[in-house]
Amino acid sequence: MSGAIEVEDLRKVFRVRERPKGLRGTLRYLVRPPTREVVAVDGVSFRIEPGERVAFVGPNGAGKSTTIKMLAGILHPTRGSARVLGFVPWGDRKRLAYRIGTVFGQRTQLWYHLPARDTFALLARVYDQDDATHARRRAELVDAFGVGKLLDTPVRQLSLGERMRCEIVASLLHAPQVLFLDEPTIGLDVTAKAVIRDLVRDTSRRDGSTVLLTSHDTGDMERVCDRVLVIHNGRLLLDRPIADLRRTYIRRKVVTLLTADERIALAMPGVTVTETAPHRTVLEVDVDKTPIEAVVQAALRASRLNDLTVEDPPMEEIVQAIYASAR
Amino acid sequence: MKQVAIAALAARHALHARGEALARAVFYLAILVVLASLWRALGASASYVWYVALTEWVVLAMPLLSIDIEEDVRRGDIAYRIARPVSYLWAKVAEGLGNGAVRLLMIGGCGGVAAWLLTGTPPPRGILLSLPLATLSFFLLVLWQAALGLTAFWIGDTQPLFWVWQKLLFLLGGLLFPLDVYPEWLQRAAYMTPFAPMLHGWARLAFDPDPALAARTALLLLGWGVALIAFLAWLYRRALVVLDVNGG
Repeated sequence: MSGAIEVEDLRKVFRVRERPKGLRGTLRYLVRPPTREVVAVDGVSFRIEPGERVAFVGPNGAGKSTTIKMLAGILHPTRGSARVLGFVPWGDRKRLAYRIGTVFGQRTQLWYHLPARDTFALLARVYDQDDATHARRRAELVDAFGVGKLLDTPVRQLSLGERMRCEIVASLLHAPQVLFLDEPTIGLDVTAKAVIRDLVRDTSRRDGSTVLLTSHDTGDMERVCDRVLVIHNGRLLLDRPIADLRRTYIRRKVVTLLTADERIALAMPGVTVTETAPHRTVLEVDVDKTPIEAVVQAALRASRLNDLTVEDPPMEEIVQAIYASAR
Repeated sequence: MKQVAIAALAARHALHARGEALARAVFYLAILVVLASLWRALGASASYVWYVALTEWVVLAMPLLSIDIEEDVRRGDIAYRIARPVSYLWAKVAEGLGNGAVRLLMIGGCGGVAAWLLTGTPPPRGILLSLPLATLSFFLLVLWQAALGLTAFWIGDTQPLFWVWQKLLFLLGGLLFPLDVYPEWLQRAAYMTPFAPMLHGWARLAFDPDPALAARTALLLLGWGVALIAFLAWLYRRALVVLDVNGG
């Protein structure tokens, strides 16, 4: 059985223009701009099965977006091959476009002054969806994403979380078999992030759609995906189940405590105080040595807590750890 | 057709974002008042006020599509918009036409009433002949805007180029003064460019309602329109190559 996405030795080299200094350099730039080659993706290979949800992570400039652009048929590779749903993306871009969906957290496809319903109707036309199919699919998604009350509100009046739910509905209307998500929770508050993650995961399970998600938020990949691909400097460093990654690399959590007492002292194995201010203590916890629950209980014994947050280390740190172990 | 649906939605969107159209309408009225006073002081006929009302109308209704496209290129949005089953270029042109159609109606309505009040004379007979040509000319302006926007793939900032293009349009199109007041050689030179038929060619019907002139202008506009569409399609293909080579 063929995979939903098959990538073999994919490489992409860009020629980037460089503006030289000085008048002579500027004149030369206008006539024949000097360029240098930048290897954005360097021999990447992987395979994703239908229905899999895969996180595609790496620091900025690692080659994630370029790979996704090649998989969406926007860019041609310099070398290598890829198939998405059996199509060569850059050769069959238009046909493939009907079967893939994209969500980009910082970009919108909703018309700002109009209700989301109008954008949905336009997308039905763009994707050649007949009225009955559109109405049925929209009803399903509106119900699943709880956006019924938002449908007739101008997009400019929606909160970021509401808008993002509508954005994802817009991307799913044509029932794509492969969904590319790029930072879908960027800028959202904790509650909205959790809602979006659950909705993406549940929709993929229900539709059997394949998800390729890029994010700097480890919570996105932990909550949505089963597998992770780590890319750095254009090369694939790691391809593993998320559970393995958590066990191996996400051992550290950052706990921020806002306490009634001005200062608290917690002496526990694997717990380091990284920042202190009046009524605020930031801890780094090695969860292999002391579980988070134990830290919270100790903090509650030490003082009344006004607030508590538990965060994963930033993606950059995880990638650096993977990179260091791969060398 | 997908582009018709896009244009229709863009028109509805423009109806909900009336602020910009109103600002343009106010500017338009101010220009008409100043120029009407000027023409009156020069002892020119009321038809000249109607001429300026027509040329300014399409120029001020023109959507700034070049800025939209430049922003899409600069922010990298274009790469994502391309991944849809509709051409980015013609979707943008449709958006500009839908958006501009609303402005044409809003600004045109204001301008018609204002010119009537300022001149005390009803619209001249040639207006009826000029309106379909004005619409065709407006279509060409939108195509020009799209072409200017696509140059962002090469030059990044399209504003200097837009500025030069706009001044050529104003000067060689006869925005404020009919080309008839220009020296003979400049009139001939202007008619060798696409700018003269885009404004003067049809607005001149306000004081010279000659059907033969209308037919000649229509042919010129159609010819330039075909050339511009072919150029735009070529430019877009080249832009996609640049995107592929230099990255999005």
